[in-house]
Amino acid sequence: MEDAKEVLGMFTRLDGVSAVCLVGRDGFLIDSIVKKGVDAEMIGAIASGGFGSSESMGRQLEKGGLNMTMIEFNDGPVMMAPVGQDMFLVVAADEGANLALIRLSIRRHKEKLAVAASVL
Amino acid sequence: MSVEDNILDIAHISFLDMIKVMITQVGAASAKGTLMRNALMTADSISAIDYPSFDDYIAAIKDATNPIARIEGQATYQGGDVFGLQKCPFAGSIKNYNDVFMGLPSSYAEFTDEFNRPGQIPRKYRVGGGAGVSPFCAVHQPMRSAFAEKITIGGKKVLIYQLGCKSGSGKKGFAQEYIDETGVPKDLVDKVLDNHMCCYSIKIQQ
Repeated sequence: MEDAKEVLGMFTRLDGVSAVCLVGRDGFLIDSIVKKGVDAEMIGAIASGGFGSSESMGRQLEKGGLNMTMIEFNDGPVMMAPVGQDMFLVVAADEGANLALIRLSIRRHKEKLAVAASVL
Repeated sequence: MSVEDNILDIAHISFLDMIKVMITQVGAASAKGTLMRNALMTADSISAIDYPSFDDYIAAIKDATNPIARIEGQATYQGGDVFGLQKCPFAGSIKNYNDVFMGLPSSYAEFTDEFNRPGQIPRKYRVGGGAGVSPFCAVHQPMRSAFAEKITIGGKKVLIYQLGCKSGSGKKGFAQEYIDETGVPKDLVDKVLDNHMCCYSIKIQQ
C-alpha cells in the first residue's frame, strides 16, 4: 500500500501541478509536496476556511455534499476536494495545466489517499 | 448587585458571537482549527521557564507568576499529579453573553462535538477526547498544554493531560483515553469536578 506522500506524488507528476497538500478539515496540515519557500501549514489553515465556506454555501443552497471546488487565479487554478470524512486535498496548478486530467486524478486517487492517511 | 455588574463587556459578547459566525460560515471543523491554532500561537510567544522543583512550580501557581496560572487562574493541587481549576477562564465571557442572549448559541454543541472527536492535533496536545464541554475548551485546553511545552521542572519536560471538564450547567465531560494513559482514577476526576470546572494532570518526563 502506498503512503500518503507517494499518493500526493502522483499529483505533482502531472504537468503544471505546483503544490499539493492534504489537510484536516480543521486546517492542520497532514502532508504536502510544495516548492521550497511555500508555507504549507499556512496554506492548510487558509484553505480550511475556503473549503468550509464552500460546504456551508452548498448547505444553505441545499446543493448536497461537496465534490470539488476550483478557484481560478490569473496564474492558475487551486482545486480542493474532500478526502474521507476528515480531510481535504488542495491542488495548485499553473496556468494552462490540464484541468480535466487533474480532476480525473483527484477522483481516481482520493480513496487511496484517505486510506493511506488513515494509517499515519 | 453593584452598578458595575450591570455593565456588559462587549469584547466578550463580540468574541462569542464571532465563534457563532465562524461556525456558520466555515463550519465547525474549520472554526475549531482556527481557535486552536490561535491558542497555540499565543502559547508559542511565551518564554521558556524552569522551576527547580515541583514545590516551586506549585508556589508559582499560588502567586500567579506561573504562565499557566496567568492565563487560567490559580489551579489547586489535588495530589497525584492532578490539578483542579475552580473557575473557567471564560466564565465572565459566558455570563456577559447569557445576560444578553439568555443562553449560548445552539451551534456551540456541534463545535464541541467536533473538538471531542479523535484527531492528530487534539491527541498531540492531549486535549478534547470527551473533556470538551464548550468551544472555549478548544482555546483553553490546547493553550495550557502548549504553555506546558515551555515549562520544565528540574530541567525535565512536562506534559499536561486534560482529564475532564464541567460546563456551566453542571454536565461533566471525561477524556477516558487520557484518564487511562495517566492512570488517574476516573472517580478522582469525577470528585475533583464536583468542586472545580476543569481537571488535568501534569506528568514530569523522566
